[in-house]
Amino acid sequence: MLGPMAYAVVAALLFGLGIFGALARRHAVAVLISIELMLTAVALNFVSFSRLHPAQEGLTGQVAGQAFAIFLIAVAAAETIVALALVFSLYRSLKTASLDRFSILKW
Amino acid sequence: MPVEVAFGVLSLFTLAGGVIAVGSRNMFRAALGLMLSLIGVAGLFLLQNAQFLAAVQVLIFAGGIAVLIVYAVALLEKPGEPLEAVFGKLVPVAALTGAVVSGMVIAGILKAAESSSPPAAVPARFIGQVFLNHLLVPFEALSLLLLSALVGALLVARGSGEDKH
Repeated sequence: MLGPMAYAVVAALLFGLGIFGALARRHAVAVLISIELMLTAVALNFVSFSRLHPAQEGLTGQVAGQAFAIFLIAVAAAETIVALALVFSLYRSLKTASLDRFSILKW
Repeated sequence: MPVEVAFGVLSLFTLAGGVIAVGSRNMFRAALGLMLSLIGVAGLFLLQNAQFLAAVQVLIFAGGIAVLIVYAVALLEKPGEPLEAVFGKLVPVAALTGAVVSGMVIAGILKAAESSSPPAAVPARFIGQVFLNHLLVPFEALSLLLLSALVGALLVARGSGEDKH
């Protein structure tokens, strides 16, 4: 039986990929995609580490981990909506989705 | 061992999808790579006996968020436009940061004690009871957050009203 740590290694690799993409990509939607990857890696970590404690009723162990993962997914959905709205708004005024051009706040 | 094989295949899907999502020049392909990665993670949830969470992951992440991103790509990308460079100037710093963070986490994980108890299935009933007993206030706050995100996104995306007809 595979322990929780094998899953945590996959989650750590996915998180590292997400960090690289969020820092290196220029397209705003690509950065958003990388952030989604990082959030999924964290959800995977919640589930796999909560396996160290057995499932019972009440806010303990696996139940708590999965409840937190559901919170994370809902917050990720809200974050995506707002970020895409911001990208659309910027695209309308600047006619580009490249993050290098989003520098109108500095002069 | 079928579980090990399934774990290997699913983590390969997850990481390959992540590489496509992060590295692809074509944004549409990147969005599809994200979808592949999210479905791979749903499979990893299923393998850990988190059936309810796997369903939520497929419905909301892979079904909702990824489709939203595909729509955004379809609206933002102009076909035939010469593509700019995919990566910015920060590539060495970004690669170093990603490698250091995941390397440190993996080093910590490999040091930790491995417990090999098989995961118990968590009935969806337990999760629902936790939400309505222990986490009632955060649960209601979450619905407020979703509502305000929806209204705020509409306000931001609609623009300032100058181009109203």
